[in-house]
Amino acid sequence: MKKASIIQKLVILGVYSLLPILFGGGDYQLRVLNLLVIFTLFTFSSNMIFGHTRQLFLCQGALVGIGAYLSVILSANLGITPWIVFLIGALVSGGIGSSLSMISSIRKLSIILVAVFTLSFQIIFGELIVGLRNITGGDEGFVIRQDIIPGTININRELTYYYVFVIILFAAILIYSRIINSHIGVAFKCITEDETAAAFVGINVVKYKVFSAFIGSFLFGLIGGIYAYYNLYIAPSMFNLQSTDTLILVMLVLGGMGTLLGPLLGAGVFALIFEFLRPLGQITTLVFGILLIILFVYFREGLVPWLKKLPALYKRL
Amino acid sequence: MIVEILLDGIAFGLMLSLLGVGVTLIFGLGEILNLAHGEFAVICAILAWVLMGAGAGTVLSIVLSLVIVGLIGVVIERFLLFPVYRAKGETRILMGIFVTLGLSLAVHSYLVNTLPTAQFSVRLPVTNIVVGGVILRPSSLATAAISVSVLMLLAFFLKKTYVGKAIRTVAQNETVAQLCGVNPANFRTLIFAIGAVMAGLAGILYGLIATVTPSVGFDLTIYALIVAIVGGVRNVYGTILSGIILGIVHSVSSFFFGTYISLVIFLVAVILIILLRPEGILGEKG
Amino acid sequence: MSEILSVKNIDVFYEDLQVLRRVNLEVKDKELVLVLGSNGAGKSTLLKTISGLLHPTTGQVHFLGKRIDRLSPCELVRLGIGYVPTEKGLFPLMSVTENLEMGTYIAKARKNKEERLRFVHRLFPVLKQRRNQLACTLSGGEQQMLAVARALMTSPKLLMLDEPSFGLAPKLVLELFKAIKQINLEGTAILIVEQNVRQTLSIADRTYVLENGNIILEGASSEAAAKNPLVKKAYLGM
Repeated sequence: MKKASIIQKLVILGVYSLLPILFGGGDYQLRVLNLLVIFTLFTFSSNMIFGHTRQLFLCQGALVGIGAYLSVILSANLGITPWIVFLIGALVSGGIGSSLSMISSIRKLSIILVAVFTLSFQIIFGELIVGLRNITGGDEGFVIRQDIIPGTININRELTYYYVFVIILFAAILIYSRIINSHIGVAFKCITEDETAAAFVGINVVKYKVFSAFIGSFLFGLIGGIYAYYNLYIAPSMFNLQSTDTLILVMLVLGGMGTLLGPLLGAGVFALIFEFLRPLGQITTLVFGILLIILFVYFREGLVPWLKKLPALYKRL
Repeated sequence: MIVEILLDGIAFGLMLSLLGVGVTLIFGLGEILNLAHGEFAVICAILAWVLMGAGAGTVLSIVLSLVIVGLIGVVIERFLLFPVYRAKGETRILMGIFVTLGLSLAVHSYLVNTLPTAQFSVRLPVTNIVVGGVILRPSSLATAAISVSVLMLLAFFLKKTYVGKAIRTVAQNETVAQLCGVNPANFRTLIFAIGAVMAGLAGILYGLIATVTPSVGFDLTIYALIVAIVGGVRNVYGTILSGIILGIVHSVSSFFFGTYISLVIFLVAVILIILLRPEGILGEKG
Repeated sequence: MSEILSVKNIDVFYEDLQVLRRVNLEVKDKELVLVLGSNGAGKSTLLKTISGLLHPTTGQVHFLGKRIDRLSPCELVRLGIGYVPTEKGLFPLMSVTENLEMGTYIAKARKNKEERLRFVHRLFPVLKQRRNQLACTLSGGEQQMLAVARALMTSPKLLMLDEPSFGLAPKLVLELFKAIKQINLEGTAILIVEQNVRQTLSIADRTYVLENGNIILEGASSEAAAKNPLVKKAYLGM
């Protein structure tokens, strides 16, 4: 069993590595691929927090934004090398995410209340960024003038960043696998099935929820920091509910919560859909909304569970 | 001075209550968290703007747009939400969230693209009334008066009429409601339509104090959800109370700190209420 | 006496599991019929199917000459079937009176509202006493009585009760069955499903025994006692 999944992971790594070649190495395609991996990583984190421990965090954009702004501000004002600030940003995001989780779990907030609680936090974050415009550049955003990849290694900027993200994705997949296949994964499963029953069996629900929130938030913050240097520009509108959280949750639920391939598939399918819809220009969101409705009615458990059922359906034919 | 701020806050809060009660009712009966609720408010206001632009009088436009938004609610409920009702429990809640999310995105995009210049606002032709040294703004008075009347009408309807009681039975025990001859599907449609009309009315009232444009739908939805959930997601009285409280918080903090920080204070208040009373201000069911 | 309810050869599935197999049953006008069976035998499923909450995959159910197995519960109430589920047969946050009033929601029952209310108060005086209390504040026994009363308010021709004695103290069970017998004497046909053999057997006209989804025995109560050792044991009070 273990060997099979190693092969599976190597195949995934291989596929992602070859994607740039598959889609042609042009700058536009590479940018799309970069956004794909970035959102895949986001969906991965969300899978940990929502998929495996049912914590509906609507502040995911803020957690990314914290990593982004923190790393940019720290390195611009204090001159710390970017790689260390990425870690600091990730740790701060992780700390904040796990704190939110701890408060919610101790107060035994329901899914909907956790959503409103984290949503409030998300909006407050947005307002803080705008308000502290002297440090953050407010609404107009912050332009990053430094590049963290030294000119000598830099053959193709988009490509280099792409592989950085892919490596992080691969590491995330490995860590995820180890966690899910351990007793922690079992605890997660119990918690998603029935929290009260899990508590009665002796599972420290708060501990596991906080742990998953930390891991997910840490990743959010880490990617946020790197994204800032990749994009060379950040603004509060990039990290709000509509542009980030909504997309992440849709990708997660449609791909299949609580699975390894779910986030990968969900983000991939959505990137494709977005690219197809792009020529429609202004009515993109309209069609997206309609598509969302249709997809949810037919694939409500997610693509991965649906794909798993296909062989059985095939046999009945 | 304080009295005026409080009154403005209560009026604004009552408008929020109108929004929130719709969400509470729809969730209580069908377990669907309507993420498109704010869009109904916007549709109604924009419709009124269109009608007024076509030459119809203000009052007539408003009445017509309320009726039309109710009908739109019926159509959406019957055609869009019926697959959601087939699912049960947590699946239904998640499905409801995402299907209404898709709906709100579609409606928002459609309105912004087809009517980008639309803006609904009504200024009452009455000047400020002064009573005993207190300045009463006619917009706040009208908002408060209309909201209170509608909410009282709703309370009467739910408590005293057969149809209203039937609605409560569907929320409390759907199986036994059926055993009394009540068809839950019909009542879910009715309550969705009522919710849509109440949202539409809130949108109109919002036009008394500000301008409604096609893009404010999402913000209104968030207000509606916060008010409903803080008040206890199935408790109508709790929603009304939380609306009023949050309205006062909004008004007081706007006056002392300006609109930017007031939003932050508003959200901090929301967080505090959630953490202090997770069951909702008045508890879960009512 | 003609039959008012006739269940013919029904198979009922719950998801993929078959719960009832080729069940045949009938209730005649003004009869009190008992269906006995242990846990898991399919008793609740039987009543749920007749009341429209579930539908048989094969077979038919007829009531007063009409075929009803494809109809919904709210339609069946209008035809005259009243059903009292095992638990939670009421609206917890409404008062006793409001619960009873909901029983007269259908137009036909609304006409007789006052008369039915008096009948129900006569049968269960405690409901008159507690008429303004919320249903969830009543004791278990009182809640059960309220559930039965609610169904009675719909003026049913057939009243179906699912394990009415469930969770009740023996004295209350006695009171409840006395009331049920009274209801039957006033002209309503009754179909009871029970595990509690002794007390119900004595009031029933005919008895069926359901085991693993099959009707294995049918007949007048004394006959049933003669044929089935378990029933006999209970009937003779051993």
